Parts: sequence; structure tokens; C-alpha cells
Amino acid sequence: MAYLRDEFLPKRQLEELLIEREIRTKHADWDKIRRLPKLLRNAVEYFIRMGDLRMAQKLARMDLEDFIELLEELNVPVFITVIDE
Amino acid sequence: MTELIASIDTCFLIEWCRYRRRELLTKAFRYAYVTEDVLAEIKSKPTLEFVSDLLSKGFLVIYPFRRQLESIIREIVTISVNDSRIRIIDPPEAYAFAIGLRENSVVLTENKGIIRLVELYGEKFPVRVWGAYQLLKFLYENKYIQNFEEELRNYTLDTHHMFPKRR
Repeated sequence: MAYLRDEFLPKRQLEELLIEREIRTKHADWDKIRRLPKLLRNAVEYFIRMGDLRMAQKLARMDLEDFIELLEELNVPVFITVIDE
Repeated sequence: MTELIASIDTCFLIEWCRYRRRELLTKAFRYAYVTEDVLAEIKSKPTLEFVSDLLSKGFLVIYPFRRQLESIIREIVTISVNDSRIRIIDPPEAYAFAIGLRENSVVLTENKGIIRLVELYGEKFPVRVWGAYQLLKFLYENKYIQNFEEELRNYTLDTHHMFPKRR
């Protein structure tokens, strides 16, 4: 199974993931997240950590758009592009 | 008139449809392919309205040769499962990518698995993969957008897509 742990990632990818993770963690409404049912909380926390929308959506057992809406309600940025400049 | 063709996945469509100047998509490309999997995933009213508008204008085209993509899909998904540097690529994104490869179209996606696949296997899969950032840049370079930085800020305001700089 691919892409489960940070240590698998090359430096550049890990850098990106850490930037994205920090942004998601900082913006997320943790009070609301803690009040979610366990299944959804796990899915949202997985997304915040890994940024893998498809896997998180499957964990949540939700349609893609519904899951994106849930993330937005929780103030979790869904799409982040790290720019090289 | 542009000669570029696109293939689009679900996440890109869902996000782009929230952008105030979403019609610019039709300036960048002559037409765009989607698969039925992508359409099946769209549920919300704003996205459905955007997609039905593009379909009725003939801009969005349902890809007619889906079955011919199977071997490419198998290859892409297998690589993504076995390479720990790439997130597992699901069929809707894999189809958009396979269309890009087969039709020489620009793949519009925000999927990190696809982006990484091209970075790591670019010689095997010579496909142009653009996210919103690259599309906005293309629109700016072709003078559909006057101020790139301002438009990027508008895009973030409308879609909440963030564009941090690498440290």
C-alpha cells in the first residue's frame, strides 16, 4: 500500500506536505472537529494530516461534494498549491 | 481561438465552478472531455448548473472511447499502488489522465497523485497536467486576465484554494 507515512516521501514532497498540513491544521475548527462522530472525525483528521481527499472521502463514506462541503464547514482548506518562486 | 483540448476531473470542476470568472475555461480550450464517472459524482446545484451549461454549449464532451483507456488505467493505478511516493490514483482521476495521454489534451486536476505521477514518470507519461494556478497563468499569458496576482487573490476568495510559496 502506497503513501502511508511521511518517511516514504522524498524531501521536496515532504516539504510540500508539511506546508499544506500546517495550513490545514492552523485553519481547522478543532472544536467542531472534536464534536464529529468518530468515523467522520477520523476521516477529517486523516485529510488534515495527509491531504488525500479521495482516501478521506472513502473513510467518511460520503460523496465527494458532500465531503468537500463538510471540510469547508470545518474551515479546513481543501485545495492548496505550493508555489515555487 | 485556442486549439488546446482539455480533460477534466471532478475536483477541478467542483472548485473551478465557484470562481467568479469560471467562463474563462471556455477561452482557454476549444473543448474539454469528461467521463461519465465525473458527471456521476457531481451533486450540488451550482456545479450541476455549470456542467449542464457547458454540456449544452458543446464545450464539455463525454469521452466516447472509454473502454479503449482500460490498459492505460490499469498501468497508472498499478504504478500508484506500488510506488510509495505517489498517492493511490482513483479511477475518475485516472480516466482524465488517460484521456490526456491518448488525446494529447491538457489534464485539469488538483489531484496530487496525478501531479506526482507526471513529475516522476514524465518520460513514460508525457502529459500536460495543470491545476487552477497553471490555468490562471495561461489565461494571463494569453491576455484574458490583466493582473495575475489580483486574479489569484480573487480565485482564493471565491474557492478558498490557497497558494502558499515554498519556504
